[in-house]
This record gives sequence, structure tokens and C-alpha cells, in this order.
Amino acid sequence: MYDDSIYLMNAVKARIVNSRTSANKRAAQPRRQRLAAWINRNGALVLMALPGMLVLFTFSYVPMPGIVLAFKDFKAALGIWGSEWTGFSNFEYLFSTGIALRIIRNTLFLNGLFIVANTICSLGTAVLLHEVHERFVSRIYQSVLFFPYFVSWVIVGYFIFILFGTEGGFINGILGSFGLEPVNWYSNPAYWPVILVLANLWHSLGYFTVIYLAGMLAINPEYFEAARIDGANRLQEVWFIMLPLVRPLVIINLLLAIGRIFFSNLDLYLNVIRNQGALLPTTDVIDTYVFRSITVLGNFNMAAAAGFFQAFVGFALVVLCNWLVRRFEPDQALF
Amino acid sequence: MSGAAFKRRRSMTHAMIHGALVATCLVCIVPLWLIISASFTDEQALVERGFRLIPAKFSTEAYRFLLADPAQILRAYSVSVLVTFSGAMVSLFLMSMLAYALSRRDFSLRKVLALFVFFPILFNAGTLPFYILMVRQLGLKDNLLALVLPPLVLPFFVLLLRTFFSNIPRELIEAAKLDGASEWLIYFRVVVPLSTPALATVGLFSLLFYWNDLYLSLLFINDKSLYNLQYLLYQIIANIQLLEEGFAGQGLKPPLQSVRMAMAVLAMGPVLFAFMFVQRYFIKGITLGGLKGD
Amino acid sequence: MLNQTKLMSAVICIGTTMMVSACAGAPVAPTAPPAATVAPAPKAADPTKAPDVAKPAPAADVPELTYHFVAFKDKDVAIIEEAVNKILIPKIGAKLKLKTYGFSDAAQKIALMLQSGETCDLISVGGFIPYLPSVATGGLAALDDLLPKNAPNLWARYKPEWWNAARVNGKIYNALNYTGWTSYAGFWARSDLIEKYKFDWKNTKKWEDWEPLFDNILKNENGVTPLLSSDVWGQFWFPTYYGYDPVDDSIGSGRGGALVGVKVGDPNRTVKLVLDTPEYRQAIDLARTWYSKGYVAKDVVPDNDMIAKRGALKYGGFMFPGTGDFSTKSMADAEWKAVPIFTQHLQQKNMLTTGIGRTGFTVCATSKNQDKAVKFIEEINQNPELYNLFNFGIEGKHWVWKDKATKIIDLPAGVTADSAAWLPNTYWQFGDRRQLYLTDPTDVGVWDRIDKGIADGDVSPVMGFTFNRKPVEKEIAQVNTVAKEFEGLNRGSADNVDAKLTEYKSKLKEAGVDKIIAEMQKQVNDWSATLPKK
Repeated sequence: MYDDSIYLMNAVKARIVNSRTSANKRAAQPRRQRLAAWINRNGALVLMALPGMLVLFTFSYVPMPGIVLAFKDFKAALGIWGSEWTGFSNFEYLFSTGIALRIIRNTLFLNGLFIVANTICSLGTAVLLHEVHERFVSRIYQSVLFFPYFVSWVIVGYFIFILFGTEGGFINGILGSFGLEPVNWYSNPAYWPVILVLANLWHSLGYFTVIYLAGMLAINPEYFEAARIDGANRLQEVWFIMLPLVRPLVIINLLLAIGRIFFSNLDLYLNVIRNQGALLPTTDVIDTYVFRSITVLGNFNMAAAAGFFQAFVGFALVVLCNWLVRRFEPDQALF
Repeated sequence: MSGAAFKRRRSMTHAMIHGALVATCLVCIVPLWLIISASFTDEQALVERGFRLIPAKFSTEAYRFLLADPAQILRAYSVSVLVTFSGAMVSLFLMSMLAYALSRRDFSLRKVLALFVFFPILFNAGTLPFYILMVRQLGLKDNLLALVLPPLVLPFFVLLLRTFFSNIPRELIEAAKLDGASEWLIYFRVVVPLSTPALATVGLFSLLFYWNDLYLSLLFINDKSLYNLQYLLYQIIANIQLLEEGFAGQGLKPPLQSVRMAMAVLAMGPVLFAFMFVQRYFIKGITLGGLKGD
Repeated sequence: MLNQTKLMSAVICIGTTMMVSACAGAPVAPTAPPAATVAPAPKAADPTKAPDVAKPAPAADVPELTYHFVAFKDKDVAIIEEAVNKILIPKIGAKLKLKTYGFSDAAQKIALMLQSGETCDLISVGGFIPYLPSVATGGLAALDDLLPKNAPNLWARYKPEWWNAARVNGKIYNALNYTGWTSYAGFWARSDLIEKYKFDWKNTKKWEDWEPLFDNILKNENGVTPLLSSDVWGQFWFPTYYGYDPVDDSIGSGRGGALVGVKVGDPNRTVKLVLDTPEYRQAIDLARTWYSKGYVAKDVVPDNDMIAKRGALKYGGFMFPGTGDFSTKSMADAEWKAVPIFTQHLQQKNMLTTGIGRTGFTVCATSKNQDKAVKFIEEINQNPELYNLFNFGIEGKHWVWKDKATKIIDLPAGVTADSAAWLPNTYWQFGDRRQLYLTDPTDVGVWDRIDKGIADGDVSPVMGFTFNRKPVEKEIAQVNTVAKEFEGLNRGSADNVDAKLTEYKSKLKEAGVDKIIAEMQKQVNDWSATLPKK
């Protein structure tokens, strides 16, 4: 039944043809019958989706009108709706001179690096793990790789400091033993994009590896056997069978990452950068700027405004990317 | 290519693979070891000589400090376990059904509902409206349901599951339908058994999410008997800092650094076990291969 | 929601370190009021005239007020509540429901409570539950009429200008807690090192006078850094030492990095950018010199690391903006391995600023019993038994007398601060501190020193003024980012001081610092116009 991976392509074609013919049929039916047919086809699925949708509706959508706080000057006594509208004034601090440009540039640049590094490394690791056939050994690898995910960023920050401290830091110690001058890492912003990428990679490698590995484990082994019979070597198997089959997972992860490309993991920045002013030129991102500002100003309408801006632009980007995906691989579009 | 050469290359490749994985694992495991070692190091030695692979001066003071009130920490553990397990189980059930419906290409509402699920990943109302909903409308302050309910359906996990499910060959489902199976039967008898690695993965992630959650406790829990482990440890650390800053003094010097590490160990231990337990479901190839005999 | 999670827990963590440090050892952050006007310490209320409820109502019938405050050890809160209500019901005809909070998350929880409109009655504000943000939520009740009516003794006890310090936009929301408002920029230094090098610390007049001691430490004490510093501490601009009131010290790069100031004695109340003053240049030159000499560590460590190293005696001393008059014994015990710590005030005179108005009792706007709530405030400010019940718990159970004559107490045998079942450890929350039992004999007579310090001290020309940041929030956000980037100047770690300073100034201008100063000047002028002419 599943002879080769061409099957997937056929399935796509079949689906397109099917949906066209059924659309034609549908037009010919009377309304009530169509409704009955619809319920017949979708009823059970709707029921399955319903409990989850209800939870999501209650906890995410019911409070969502609160998003208007981004456009208001909230006063408790007046309530969310009674508070005064202020237009876009809560957004102003995000779009003034120099700083706006810098935080947006840093956010996009660093997140871009994170996405590329995470995707490539976790896919690569998953491929390697998939090649390990000793079950017990594989499990040990997986556990160990996953472990950094449990380590809080506070502790990651400690380790980074142990490595990069000026006085008594591990790396300066090594430099010293080669007769090199110690480097004052924490006052030179140029190094930090790399350090941030490595720290982030270390922390989340296991998480994404597990996702991709789960995708690979679900691949029918017969695909590989068929390929082997056709004379494919290991690399070709990975390239022509494994990667195409985990592509949907990669795409969904990329789409979600792109949606959140204006957001940053505040814990990462606060603990790794450790509040060092000198590092701001390359490491100040939207979230850290907003965080500092509202800590001082206590005006959380401004935080709401930033969140709205980040979400809005991210959403636009996702819609665009989703549209591109849909053009080339309709099955893998997010919506 | 001769068989021997092929084999040699094969084993070379394997050696390289293991080499790469061992190196990566070392980078991951050394800090873990340092944390464990630091948690068993005397505070003074830790400050003076830093992190060592073997404690410069062995001490269990940090653990004795954290476990000074065993009843309190046991209660926090049980709150965490209760919330985590009930939450993760119900969550996996709800999310997988939702994701399955979304993965079905013949489901008419598929796109609309996918957007519905995706939207909250980006847009959220913020803390205050959420708080008003939970406390004033649902009355969930100091109620464990406040910790269980909101993360039941996490959009990222739903979309992940949907992607996993959409890899299930459509023909299988069609065939089952032709045999007269209802959608429910298909879900439980075909989809779930076919997706063990995926369900195990997302179940694990959900478990971790519940276990690590501090935010909901910070917002909604004030009653000390309802503290979960993360929140209790958080409060302990906050109070140590305070002590160190010299209010109550009284000659008490809690070992801040090592306690922080011991805390990490205490919080991490149970989930590491859970992880290893869940791993048995990451089993290669068993799914489709097994089905073929049916 | 996820993003919010991170943001919020991060806000909490950062908030904690800052607030905790704010309270380091010293009696609350703010500075002090003129002592001459401090009324005699309150005596226990005269039983013949005080209670307005003659017949105690049965406990079940009286209204219940919820009282929110932070507490360190609160296991026995139910027992304390019962004891409190036993005193309170006959006096004010109401009982309290005590709601205690941890130090780290109190601010967030209270802010949400006030913003969401949950009902409450009383809240203690101070370092952990900050006053101005609480007022900004709109969830607090103005006390201008309630105080004179329901707390006449307290109202009369403090000068009108002190009450003005509690005003926000003209209204008082805070029933002040008098905590002994003296503080001086100066040193806390380890007595063992001072004695070892026979350093004549008592005659030091300015920062530089301490260099001989630091040189000795550097030369002979391996691994000890003369001055402690961290991400929170270590910037060298101490406004009060140089005679400036920083007005709003959140404008700038944090503690020791305030950007604006009004000079003491300036009749025009000119708001200045401190970068333009000669004193600032003095401060950063000192920072640069001391950094270069190695008096300060090259690495900026997180506060926690500094705390740990301090406990291991890796520092010689602490350059602190607000050393006070109280004993440093408990601080030394907890932070310095019980090595006694000497206090040297280098700031010549105490300076009274608006900061005194930030600590006290507030009443919720949602409270249905605001009168009773204020009556409770009056009672706890004049009833040492009630006051100390909150501070230390029940005699014999939570504390014992060490010397009843001088009002010195101790924890019962076998009880430590950590095993105590009741020890909120937050005297500043509960009213007039002059009622507080002492825990260290050297504090006997401290109130005379404080009274003198306040009487001889300065009063800031903008005492009673609170800056409304609303019109320049955008500029503050940007200016603070620039200030953060250049904080190395204040720490001495930036080389090429002249060039950096010029760059710093031009970037500040670009970020809108002039607009902030102009706005503040305008508000100060408007506020001055409302003052009674002398």
C-alpha cells in the first residue's frame, strides 16, 4: 500500500481533484440536504474539537478584548472600558529616534540567528540520533541532550559568567595560559550575539531534537528499505526520505518562530547579559527595552502597546509566509 | 564496493556519529554535574573556589536548609504532582482530539479553526484582563483549578500534534471508514496507536509545562497550603536574599549559592525521571510496522 | 500569555533585588524630617478617652477589614490575628483579617488586586509594595478628610510639610509611618581591617581620606576587594553627599546614577542635569581613579554573587548612600560573618526629602469601612502593645524580655530568625517606630541622635514635591537606555572619560533629556507657587 514516497505527491493531487468534484456536486444539492451531509461529514470532528476549543475560548479569547489597553490610559476605578482612549500615545516610546531602530534591528537579527542555528543543529542531531540503533544508548543520549532544557536561565547565566568573567573566568584563564591578554568580555558588545546564540542553542537543542526525532520515528521503515533496495546510501536516505518527511514539522516550527520574531525570551537576556549597560548596542531587544521602561515607569499600557505591536507585525509576517507556503506546498500551510 | 570496505565505512560512520553525540552530550552533562556538585559543596568553599567537579568541601547544608520543614516541601511536591499529572493527562486528551480534527483534510472548518488556535500564540490580553477573568468572574483565587485549567490547551502543542497527525496516511482512515468505523473509533483505534511517539513527546512537553509553571501560582495562589514546588522554592530563595540583606540577622547565614543549586536539583529530579519513563514510547518503527500485520 | 509570563516573573525577580537592596541594613530607604517637630514618642492611648466604642461588640457582629502586608516568617498568622482582634474589637469596633505576602511577589499581587477592583481595606506600602505605583492604579482612597477625623493624634503628630511629602497630585493617600528618617552617604567598613591597619577612620571627612586603608587591603589582604559592587551597587553619584536632591531618582541608570538634581539651598529650585555640574565630574573622576587603582572589582557581578562574597568576607567595606543611626549589629551578623561593622557618615548633614512620604498605611478605595480602617491606623500608632504584637508576636511565645527597663527583647531560647513562627521583620510597615522594642542594646538612646540629626539637617528645596512623569514617559524610557549604556562612567570602568562624557551628553540630548528637565522645572515652579510665602 505504501510503496514509495511518491505516494505523498499522489495523495496531494488526489485531494485537489476530490475537492473540486465534491464542490461541483455540492452546488447541485438542495440546502437542507447539504446541511445534513455537512453534519454527517463533520459532526463527529466538530465534537472532538469542541472541548479544546471551549478551553481555548475561555482562557484566551474571553479576556482578549483587554487588548484595547494598548490604546488606553487604564484606571482601575474606571475599568477597562471606562478608561480614557489615548490613541497611539502608548506606542510612541517604541518609535522614537535611534533607539527604536536599534532594538528592532537587534531583535530581528538575533532571532534570525536563533532560528537558523536551532533548526539546523536540532535537525542534524535528530538525524544522528536516528542512526543510533542501540536503543539503550540512544535513550541515554536523548536524556542527556534534553537536560539543559531543565536548567533555569539564572543558572545558565552563572555558567556563562564562569566562562567569560574578566577576573578568574575560565576562557581568560585559557587565554592566559597561552600568554594572551585577558579579554574584558562583558564590556565588548561585539562578542555577545555569538554567545547568546550558543547559550540559546545549548538550552533548547534537546527540546527541538526530540520534536524532530519523534517525527522521524513515525516514518514507515519500509520507505528506507525501498530506498536501500534502489541502491540509496545513508546520506541519500536522509536527504531524499527523512528530511522531506519531517519537512512539515520544520515548516510549522519556522512559521511559529517567524510569528514570534519580534518577541524575545526575556529570561535569556536578563540572565546572560546580566544588566551590563555596555552590551546594549548589540543585545538590547524590544522586550528588554520595554521591560526596563515599565520597571521604571510602571505604565503597563506601554507594555500592552509593545505586545500589540510585536504580535501585529508577527501576524502579518506569518500570513505572508503562510501564503507562500500555500502556493508551493498547500498541505503544509498553517491555515 | 567490497562488503568488507562497506562494513568498514559503515563502522567509521558510526564511530563518527557516536563521537559527535558524545561530544554534544558532554557539553550538556558537565554543567549538570557542576550543579549537583555545587549543591553538595560548603558555601564558603563554593564562594572561594568556585564550581568544582568534585566538591571542594562536602556539605549537605543546602539540602538540610531546604528540607528543614519536610512537611511543607512534601505538600508542595504533592501539589505539583497532582496538578502536573491531572493537567497533563486531560490536556493531552483535549489537545490531541482537537489536533486530530484539524489534521483531517476533509474537515470543513479546518482552516478557520487552525487560525483560531494559532491566533492566541501572538495576541494575548495581558495579565490584568486574564486576572479579572480568573478571579472576579471564575472565582479561582487560591484554587488549584487556576493552575490546571488555563494551560489545558496550548496552541503550540496543538499545532505540533496536528502536524504529526497529518502524516498518517489518509488511506488508512478512508479504509477504516469504509469498514464502517465511526470517527471516534478511528481516533482511538487507528490514530492514537499510530502516534505514540508524537503523543509521548507532546505529553512530555505538557508535563514539563505544568511542572515548571510559576506564573499561575504567582498570580492566583496566596494560601500556603496550595504552594506548588516551584513557587515554594521561589519563595524560599526570595526570603534567603532578604535574610542576607540583613533584616533578621540573628547570626543566621543561609548558604545562598549552594541552596540555589540544591533547589535546581530538587526541582529537576522528578521531571528527569518522568522524561526517562516517557522515553520508552519513543520507539522506532514499531507503529506502522506493527499495523501492517492487521 | 507565555510572553507575559516571562516578563512578569522577570519583573518580579528584578524588583526583588532592587527592593531588597533598597532596604539593605539601613532603616528604610528614605531620608528624614526635622526632628524638632517630631512629637514626643507616643504613649499608650489613654484608656479613659480613646475608644469611641464604649461597649465591645460581640466579635461576630463587627465588620472585618482585610489588611495586606509583607512578612518574613508568618506561620502563626492565625494566632496573631486572634490576639490582634482581642485588642482591636473593643477599641475600634472592627476586626482584622491578616493577609501576608512574600517579599518577592507582593508588589505584583497588590497591583493586580488594586487594578482589578478586588475589594480590600488596608495595605502597608514601603519598599516592597511601592507607594506611587499603588496610587497610580487609582485603587487607593484619599485620606485628607479621613485622617483628621479618625486619627486626630497621628494627624497632629507630624508637621504639615511632612504630610505634604505623602501628597500625589495634591491628595494624601498615605498615613506616614515615622521610621527615624536620618541617612548619610558614607562607609560601612569592617572593623577587623580598620583595627589591623590602625586606620584613623573617625576623622575621615571625604571619600579620598579612606585611600590609605584601601591601599593596605590591596597590598596585604589577598583576595579581598576594598569596596563591594554589583549590578545594583557601585555607581558613584551620591546626590545627597554633594548636596543634591535627585527629585526622581528613577531617571538615570539606577542607584548611584540619577540624572537630575536640585541643589540644597537653591532658592530658585533650578532643576539641573547633573552632568553639567562640577560635583558630578568630581564623582566620576573619583570612580575612575578608584577603579584604576583596583579598589573596585573589574567584573560587575550580580547582586547575589556580591552577597555571597560579602558573606565570605571578600570585601573591605560598602560605600553606601544612606548609612543611618541605628546599630549595624544585625546587619553584621547576617552579612559580614558577625565581624562588627563601623559606620562613618561622610555626608555633613542629613537631608530631608520627599522620600519620607513613601512609607505608611494606605486605605483601599474599594473599602466599605474606611473610617474604621483609619481608626486602626490611629490605634497602632499609639498602642505599643498592638504595634509590637505585629512586629514580634506574643510575649513568651515569640519573644522574651532581655531587659524590660530599656525595652530590649530577644527571641526565646532555641528559636532563630529562620525557625521563628512569627517574625515579619518589617517594622516600617506598622506605624511609628518609636514604639518598637529594641533588639540591640547599642540602640538605646538612638532616638536622641536621630532627633538631633534631623534638627541640624537640611531640608530639600523640593521637599514635598512629587514629579508626574506622565508627560515625558517616552523621553524617560529613552534617556534611561542611554544612561544604562554609559553607566560605566559612573562605575569608573569607562576609559577616555572626556570623550565618553561628551558623547553621553549629546546622546542624552538626542533622547530628549532637555524635555524632561523642562517639564520637571515647570512642575516644580507650579508646585512652588502653591507653597505659603515665608
